[in-house]
Amino acid sequence: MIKLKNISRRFDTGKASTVALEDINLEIKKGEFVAIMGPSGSGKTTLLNIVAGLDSPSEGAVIINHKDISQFNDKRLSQFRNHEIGFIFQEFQLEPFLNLKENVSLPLFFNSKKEVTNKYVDRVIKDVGLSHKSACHINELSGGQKQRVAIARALINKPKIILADEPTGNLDLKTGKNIIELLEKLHKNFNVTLIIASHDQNIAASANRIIQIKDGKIK
Amino acid sequence: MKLIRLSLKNLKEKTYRTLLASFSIAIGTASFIVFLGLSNGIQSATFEEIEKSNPLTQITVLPQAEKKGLISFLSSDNKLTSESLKIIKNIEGVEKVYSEIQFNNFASIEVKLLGFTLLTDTMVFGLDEKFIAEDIKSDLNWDTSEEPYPTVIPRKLLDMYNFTIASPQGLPLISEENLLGKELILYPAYSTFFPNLNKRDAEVKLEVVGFSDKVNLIGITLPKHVIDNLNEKFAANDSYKDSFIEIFALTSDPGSTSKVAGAIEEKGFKTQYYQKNLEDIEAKFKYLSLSLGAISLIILITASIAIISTFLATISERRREIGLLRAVGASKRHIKFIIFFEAGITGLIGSIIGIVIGIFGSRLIDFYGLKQLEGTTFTPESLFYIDTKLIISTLIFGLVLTILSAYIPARKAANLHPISAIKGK
Repeated sequence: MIKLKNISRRFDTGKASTVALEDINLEIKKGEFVAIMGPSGSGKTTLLNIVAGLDSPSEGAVIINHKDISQFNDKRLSQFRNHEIGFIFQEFQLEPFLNLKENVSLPLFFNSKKEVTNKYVDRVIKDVGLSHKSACHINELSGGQKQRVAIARALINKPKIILADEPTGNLDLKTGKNIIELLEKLHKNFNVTLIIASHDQNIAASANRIIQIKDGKIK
Repeated sequence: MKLIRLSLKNLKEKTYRTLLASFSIAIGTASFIVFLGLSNGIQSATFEEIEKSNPLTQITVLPQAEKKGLISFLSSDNKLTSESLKIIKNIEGVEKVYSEIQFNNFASIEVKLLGFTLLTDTMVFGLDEKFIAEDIKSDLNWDTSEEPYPTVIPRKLLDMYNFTIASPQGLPLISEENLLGKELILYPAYSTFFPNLNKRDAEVKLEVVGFSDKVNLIGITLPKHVIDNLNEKFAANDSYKDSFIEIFALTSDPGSTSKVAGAIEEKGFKTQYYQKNLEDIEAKFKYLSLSLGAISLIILITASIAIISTFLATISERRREIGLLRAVGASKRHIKFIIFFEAGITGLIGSIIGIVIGIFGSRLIDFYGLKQLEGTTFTPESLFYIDTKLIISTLIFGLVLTILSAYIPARKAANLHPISAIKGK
């Protein structure tokens, strides 16, 4: 379902050039739970961003469901991110001027195709265990609750792929474990392909497959 | 609709900044309203003043001046005579014709009013009653052959006396109410400038019966038969015989005035009429309007530069938010729409506030400005003319300018790299 062919990513900063990824070849099947493990600066986040269509490779092709997304124009790529991808950030990335339900519904503002009902939104909020906080403002939530909101937002458009970049990075151990359990549960219930970039060994323990990455290369 | 809701929520969240940005547009649109309203108002008041003495259906016929080198003067061959009257009467479109004659010698009038006596030189003219019937406010018969004879004073002469003589010298101002029904003494063939040349031995009693904008500005107007008698007795020479100062031709409708005036001019006469004055004055006012419009445009452009700056600063602060929106599926077009919509709302609020400030400001200027004009010959009801058309065009202009100002910030926002933006870079 996801194929990365000869993916390289270089960042040119003036005279210097940083190689974040070098000649990556990878296949991930539909419904897999994959953990991408590696030290800081190894290229995990860059790899995730390229799969999500948030970044473009310097070389290579990103084939998702038989389509090379690296050739998409902005409109098509935006639609792809909206319909096919759910992204969970390490710092949650929630809108402070929207309440919980509005934050979860944010991708729906740009959804021109899929029918997502209000009932479904409530169901997703319930699935992440936050029904009682639906009308609350983001500032009233704990770190764990905020990450749950981010997870719900990632699921709202019924994507095929969920990408999470260090989802437990800003959380304490207990809360982090709860989040991992939630992600596992949702992976099964929603039948999504789940790719998590992390150093967290608990995530590695839960994943179907572990991909080790170091200095931009898959080990 | 969803994007509109998101934009409105964002604006509501940043109310202070939105209002601040709106205020710069408000200043621009307020100046637009004030300057163009002033230009329209002065133009309208001027046209009204002109129309008082030049109704839309009236053509004033003057003798053609003969040019001799640098000096133009009337030759006896170019007088308006009964023959001229006949020619003009027969022109198609001319409904009525009136003629004005003049007393052919010096004259002065004396009036006792408000505890002082005024003796001054004047010119004396004669008109048919029908031409100025609506300005006569007395029952005194225009055709009377006994003294006192009725006389009509030019309104503007009264204004000029009050403004140039009475006010500066601390003399009491004369109003129409003071003067109506008052007795004047006319001294034909006597001039206060040359008191030794003639004696003040003839007196003619007159009574003020009205005030008019249609009579000759530089003197008093009496019935024609009175002027005929005065000329027979006191005229300096015979040049008054079969001679008119002006002929007034009235058309049946304002639309035909220009055409009829053209026909009169083809016969060798010179004409003056409202529409002709209007063209000249409109051209001059266009220059005034353009100048005032340019000033307010400069103010608006300055405001739009402030908007560009404000929005660019906002984009910098909202990088993370824009990155997030892009990450969840917003396209560049969506981002541009959000920025343009927010600019539109800002422009709308600013324009409305500006229009209200402009209208209020114009009322304030009117209040003080009209006070300053009291006692002058220019006394309009208002210095401003602000109609629906001006308000709507100001609103649209302010709105469009704000949206255009958002173009650079919108492009910048749309071109932010999602990942860099989320990281705040």
